[in-house]
Amino acid sequence: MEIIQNTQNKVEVFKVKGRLDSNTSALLKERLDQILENGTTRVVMDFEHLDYISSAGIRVILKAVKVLNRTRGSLVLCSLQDYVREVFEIAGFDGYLTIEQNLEQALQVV
Amino acid sequence: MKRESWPADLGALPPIQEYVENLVAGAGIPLKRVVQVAIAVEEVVMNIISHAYAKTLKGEIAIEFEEHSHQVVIRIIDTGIPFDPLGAPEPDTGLDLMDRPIGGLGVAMIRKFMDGVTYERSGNRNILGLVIHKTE
Repeated sequence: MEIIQNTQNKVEVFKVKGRLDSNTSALLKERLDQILENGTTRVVMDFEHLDYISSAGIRVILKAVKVLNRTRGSLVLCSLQDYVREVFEIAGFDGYLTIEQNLEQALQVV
Repeated sequence: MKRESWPADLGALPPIQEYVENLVAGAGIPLKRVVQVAIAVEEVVMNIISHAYAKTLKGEIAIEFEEHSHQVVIRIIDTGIPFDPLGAPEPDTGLDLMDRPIGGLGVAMIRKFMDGVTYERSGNRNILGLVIHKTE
């Protein structure tokens, strides 16, 4: 897994590539914890190149969403591949998370 | 039948998944389903590491693979304490996201993605079976 992070208009954008699984999710959690501790309230997860996500990866996303709900921030997912989106749907989380078609739209709504 | 085993730790997850993905793809299962199989295998392996082999125990995880005319069967076998992940209650997806326990999520994903899931305790072995049909 590879994480490319940058800040666009006070929005922290994470491009996550490869596999977000029980091994790699700790690294994403670390990066998310870091920016949340620094007071970031708007986060976009760009999953265009994410090939795989397991429940370990979903947990990391949910924990960040919980923190951001408390700080009145928001987290938006975008550019999900079909089968990655399906994992969120099957887990029953698609209705609770904001999922946008592309990065442009995600940056507008976050 | 093909069979291989690995030490039961987190580092074994990538080679186990690679082994299973190659066999399943080789049986003609489409990519989207291969990913679902990989997810199911990860959830089972993590359950074995964190429950069947509760911290002090060391052991192995074996994968057995069988290809039949209409389906493939994967068995994930450990020799830890009896643990049936299918016995865990299904998560209530009607609950608010923030109130929901997320522990049962992995098992829910296994059930949704696989065409069949079985659990059997045989001697000192937990045998978790995953069935995947070759046609949708």
